Amino acid sequence: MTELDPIIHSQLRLAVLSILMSVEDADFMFLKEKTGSTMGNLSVQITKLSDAGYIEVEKTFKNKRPRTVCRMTEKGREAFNRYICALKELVAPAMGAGSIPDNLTTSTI
Amino acid sequence: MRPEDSLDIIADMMSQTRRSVLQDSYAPFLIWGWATVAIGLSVYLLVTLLHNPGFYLLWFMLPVIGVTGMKIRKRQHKSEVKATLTSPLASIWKMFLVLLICFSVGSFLISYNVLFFILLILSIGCYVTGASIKYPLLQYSSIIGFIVDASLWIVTGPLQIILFLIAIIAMMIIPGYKMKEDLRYDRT
Repeated sequence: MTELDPIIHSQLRLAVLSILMSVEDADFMFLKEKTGSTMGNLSVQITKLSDAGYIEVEKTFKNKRPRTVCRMTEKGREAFNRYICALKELVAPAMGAGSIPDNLTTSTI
Repeated sequence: MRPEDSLDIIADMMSQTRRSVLQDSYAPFLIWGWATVAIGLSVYLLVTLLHNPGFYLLWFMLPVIGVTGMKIRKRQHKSEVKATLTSPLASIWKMFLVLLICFSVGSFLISYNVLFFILLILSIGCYVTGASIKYPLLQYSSIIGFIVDASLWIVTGPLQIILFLIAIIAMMIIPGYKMKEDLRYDRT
């Protein structure tokens, strides 16, 4: 049976990775705004993704204010694409072939 | 979390991200487009009415006005919330900017059809941008740019400026307003 990556298969972590797949990088507040998460919870999930090597986190300063920027790693992209493939295998029999957009794997802005 | 829920999350986040990043992407087209129209019309009127080709130097006010407009816009919409488009697009426009400057400066040293080259670069830039951000109107409007660009080999003199401005309106201003409207009504 196809197994979904447990690191990715979490509502908030999946949301974060979906956003980062679409852009070169995103700052912490952008991720917080889009996911609707609390700062504490988002920080915990970003740490988990970073520890897994799926994202890299860069802490910088802009106009003397701290800024945390996240970006996807190559390992993270590959893991995400594997996750999408696994999802398609799980969902396709129930929903019918062709009902899942192919561009979910490589969709970029 | 069911697999179907995962797919919904992925689609929703990617869609929201795309809209957010596009939110400000129409601004450069409108700022630079209107700056070009304003300068272009000024040059055309001054050159044709006063018969002084020195007024062509007014074109060098374009980067001053354009950059000022962009800075004002950035100050008005200051936000820490940011996501960056993939870098190739930014790099392409930087390269185009260098070419635009080179062709502009070069035209005062060597005589050639400078508006042809500038419009060609802008048309390519708009087409590539439209393809990258998946906004077909930009691609289609750049075709107008290419067609007008071809006509610049036939039309000479200050009338070229008018044709050039028509192309700018078609390629940058109209798509800019359409993009702004589409984003407002979530039609991206």
